[in-house]
Amino acid sequence: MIFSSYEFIFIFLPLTFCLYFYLNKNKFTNLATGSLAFASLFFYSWWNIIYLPLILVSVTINYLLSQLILRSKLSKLFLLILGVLFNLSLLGFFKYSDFFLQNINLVFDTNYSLLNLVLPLAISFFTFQQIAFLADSYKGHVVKHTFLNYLVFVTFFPQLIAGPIVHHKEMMPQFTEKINKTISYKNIYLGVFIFSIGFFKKAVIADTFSIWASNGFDFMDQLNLIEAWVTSLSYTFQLYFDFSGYTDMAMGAALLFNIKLPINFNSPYKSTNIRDFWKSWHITLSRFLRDYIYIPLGGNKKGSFKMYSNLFTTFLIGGLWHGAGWTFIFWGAMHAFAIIAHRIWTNTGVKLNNIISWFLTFNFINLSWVFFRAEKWEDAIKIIKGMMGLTGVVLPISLQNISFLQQNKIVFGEVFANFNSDTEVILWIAIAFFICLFFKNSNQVLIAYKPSSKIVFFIVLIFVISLMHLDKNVDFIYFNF
Amino acid sequence: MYKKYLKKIFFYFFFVLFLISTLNYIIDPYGYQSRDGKFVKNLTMFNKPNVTSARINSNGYYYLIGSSRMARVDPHMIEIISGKKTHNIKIDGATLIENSLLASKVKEKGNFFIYSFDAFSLNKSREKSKEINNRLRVYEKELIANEYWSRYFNSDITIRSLQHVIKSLKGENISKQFEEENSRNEGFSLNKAFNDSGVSNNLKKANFANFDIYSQQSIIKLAKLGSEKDIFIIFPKYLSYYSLFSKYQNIQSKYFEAIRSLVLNTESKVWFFYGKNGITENINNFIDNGWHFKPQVSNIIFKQVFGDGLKDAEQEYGVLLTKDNVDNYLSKISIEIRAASIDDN
Repeated sequence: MIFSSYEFIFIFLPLTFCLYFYLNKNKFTNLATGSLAFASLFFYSWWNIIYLPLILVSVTINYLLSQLILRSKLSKLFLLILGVLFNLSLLGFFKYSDFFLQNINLVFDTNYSLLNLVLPLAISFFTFQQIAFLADSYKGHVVKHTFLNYLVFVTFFPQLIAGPIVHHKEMMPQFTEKINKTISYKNIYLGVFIFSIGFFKKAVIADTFSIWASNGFDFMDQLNLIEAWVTSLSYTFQLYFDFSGYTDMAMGAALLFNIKLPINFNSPYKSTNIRDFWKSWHITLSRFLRDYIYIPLGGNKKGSFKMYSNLFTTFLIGGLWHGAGWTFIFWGAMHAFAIIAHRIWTNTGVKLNNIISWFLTFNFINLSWVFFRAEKWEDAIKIIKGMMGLTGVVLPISLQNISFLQQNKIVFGEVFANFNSDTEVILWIAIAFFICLFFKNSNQVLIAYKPSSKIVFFIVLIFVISLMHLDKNVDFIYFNF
Repeated sequence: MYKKYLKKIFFYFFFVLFLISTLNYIIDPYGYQSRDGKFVKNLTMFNKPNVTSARINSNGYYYLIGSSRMARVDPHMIEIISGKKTHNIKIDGATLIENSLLASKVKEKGNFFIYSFDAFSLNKSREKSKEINNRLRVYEKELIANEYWSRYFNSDITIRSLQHVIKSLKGENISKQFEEENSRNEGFSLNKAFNDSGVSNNLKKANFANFDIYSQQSIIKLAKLGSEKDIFIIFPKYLSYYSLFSKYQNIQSKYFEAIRSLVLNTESKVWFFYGKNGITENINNFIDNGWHFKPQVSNIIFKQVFGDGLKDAEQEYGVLLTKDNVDNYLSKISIEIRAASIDDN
């Protein structure tokens, strides 16, 4: 089940909420926590129950290892290495084995059959979360917790499937806090508010862009200049509204249970450089990569060259984390080069005009998403060729009398002939730009938020509109990672 | 304070939910409950997986399955002729796989289909199109999901309901779509027929390009789905297309072989409106360069199918293919088409 579904909104969420607070009200606090864990595992199993044993085994082994690290006289480092190897093996086996075999077959001209395993849902998320927990247990930053608390920390349904990648320090105390076990109308109100915003972003905006993005990538061979740009921008906006919408819904659902999830987006498309972009896009992933990969590798402490190589390694891992494919690795490498280039540029002390900086940053991000979305390298190249005008430029007939446009390479005709779409998409792109660049983001809105009848009207309106758009049947993009 | 506002949110939300759902239920623009008094465009023209799913799960007896030719068949007209509740669940440019999926869902529900057995639907090459594959996936998903929740509560049906109200207030004829098509008089251009259909294999995306017919097993599987009460129909096209099919890529012989397999393996009736006759020879019975018959032709076809009799001029139009006559009849039609000349106005 996904957040933007009738089952989740009208059955699962209200039932889980009522049961949790009913049990807490009657002082069955452990049972209440158990009900939350059960509901989360039910939520996880909804797609396919065969995933359930895997997550249970993973959670149990990680919990036992963390307890051993905290209590045992065995070498803590050995236990940590064992735990990290276990998690990475699990992730590697399910997510990367076919990618590995494909490349082995390609390089050594062998013919090993692929395993064609079904990727367990959210494996990338709960693996990272648990590695962080083990690492912090090793460093002595973790206090003892019951298995139930640990189970809820890993599987808490609002963040389980697509993050945010939560840290035990910010989550586990919230689950045990007494005040959080009673109903808070303020949190419900705020939760409903932010859930509605996320719901609208996902069901109305992202799912609309997804049609054009898919359409463009399906017809990548035939796209003209404008169609190629529309395709890439549609995906750029689809991804942002989809993922940030999901995060808002996750935050809203968690708030109903008095749990505050960390911020994951902070208007990333307003960024004027790539460093700012990574401070505001999927913030919890950046935090994990910084704390558990970049800094352990040495961070910026061992000279410029080492720092650049650490950045490069970190971003390559980030790319690979998103998917088992060379396009993801290339996407990670692109961002690594961009971050390094930005550092070098910053060291020169030369400052660019903000508008130019934004323009360069946004276009780089837009270009990089083409590789992120493309199934194959050649597909991405086809789109980029289209964006460069190498596959033809078609302009509307209404412009054919403008003299400087009358060149051999420009054809006047139906701009979206191959696209199965119309100029409506241009309007949507303009609106999306406007929202991304000039609107406050959900977190800013939430901070400055005072309840009023106008807000009530706004919530009901966007919730109803979103609910009416639920017939498009599009999953959240980040479920694939 | 928060409790008060929360109460307001829930009250207004459920009130609006109730209001919109009730409006859509009463107006019922897609005719889930009744096709009577509904705009024919809403009953026939749209390809929407959620609407198809809702119709299959509604109270139908006959389900019209096919491609864009089936869009010219008013289910309410079939109801009047046959006396059975009828829904149109056509998909424009459908493939055999898509149509077979719909047919199997109709049979699962214990209902019956009227299936348009189109030549280009049998072109397996079209399956390579990502667009068609994506569409099939969406249909499969929607037919499994059978979202009762959203049947009367989604943006699309709400817009259709509002349009229905506005059009009704303006006094718009519910058959406007069909009347407009019936009044269109267009010629036939051979060049356009080549370019649009791809019979001469000159286009990648066209319907008849790389004509590679589905396996006999697929056709037999479909044939076996049909019971005595189900009906297969081979709809007419403008005669010049038949000449093209006989000339290029062996389309006609492959198609006739598929029809033969169908007839020999099904218990259903197979009505054949292909060939040279008073309807197919006259371009005025067709629109879109002879590609689609006009809605008025569908009335003649279904009066024949349901035995309502035909006027003099239309006698000899439409043959019920049986295991006994199929070979002779298809041979006869092949000879007639070979002798016909290609028109190019």
